[in-house]
Amino acid sequence: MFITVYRTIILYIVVIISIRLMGKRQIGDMQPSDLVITLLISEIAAMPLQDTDQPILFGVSAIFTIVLIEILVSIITLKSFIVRKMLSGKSAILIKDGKIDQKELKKVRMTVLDLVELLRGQQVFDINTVSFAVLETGGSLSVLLKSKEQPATAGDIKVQKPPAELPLPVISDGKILSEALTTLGIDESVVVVTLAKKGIRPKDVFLMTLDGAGKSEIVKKENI
Amino acid sequence: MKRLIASAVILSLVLALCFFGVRYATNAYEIITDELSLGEEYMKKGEFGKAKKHCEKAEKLYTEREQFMAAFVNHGILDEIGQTIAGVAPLADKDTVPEFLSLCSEAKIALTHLRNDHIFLIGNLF
Repeated sequence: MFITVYRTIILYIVVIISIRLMGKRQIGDMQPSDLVITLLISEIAAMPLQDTDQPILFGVSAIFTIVLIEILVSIITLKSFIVRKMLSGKSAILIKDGKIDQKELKKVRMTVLDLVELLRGQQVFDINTVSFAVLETGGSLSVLLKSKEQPATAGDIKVQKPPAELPLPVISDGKILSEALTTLGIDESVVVVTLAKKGIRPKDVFLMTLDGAGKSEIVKKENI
Repeated sequence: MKRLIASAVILSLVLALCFFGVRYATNAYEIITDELSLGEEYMKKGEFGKAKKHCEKAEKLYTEREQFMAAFVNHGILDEIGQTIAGVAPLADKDTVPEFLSLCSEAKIALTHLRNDHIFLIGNLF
């Protein structure tokens, strides 16, 4: 019984290391090869757990071999368009100049109802408003609306806007996040002073965000 | 590139362990088989005491190595081989010569399989 616990801990660490080694691409943007790798790793990790007769090294060596292959393949796909096309396929233009490409739709084995569903997922409820729709290799749909349907931007209406600033969380659950302060290029005292002006102590803050222009948002802790 | 290096290093360590496993299993096969062969020879000559001594030594050597081999060999297979080897020494008696030789041969075959399972053979790939 203890063996299963030890093995689970070891394999958990191995799988986490493997996923981290493969990078964030694995989780957010799954290509066909990524899916295969993920399935394989989960299956291999389960084998030594289910059968304690099997040495754990069987699973560990197999997982690390897969990770190395995956990293090598991803490097090759970066360099070679042909390999990338072979492994990930290519994106398909399903709507071109506002017209559904039925041939392409058939090629990707999708019905028009599937297309409508994917469009709804992109907040597009009227297919006539779409100029281009591209089915990406990861399975997601990218949509470009017709010019007249696109929302007006500041540039379109010639309005001058201040440069966009990225607000970063500087306090989370009462703890000052020094890494965010370094990114913003400010000192901890700036945060403390900002809070002091409002009569708040850092430890009473649930979330505080701050951007490069000094604009802050504060959410105080609730007494739960 | 950092990821590639990290995974290559980890895989190298695992492969090094695999190579060590092959060497260890081969070495164990050789020394234990030698002891069993000596036991066989003495048994054929009728020197039952010496035969028993060598078989007991083979069992002891196997027990020592089994613990480490468990890291890279299926535990079920190791247990089966261990039971076979352990059964040889008690048969070192004048009344059980055929049984002794049969079991001894069985143990040697099992050890050969143990070694061959770790060697890079085409058959092992499939």
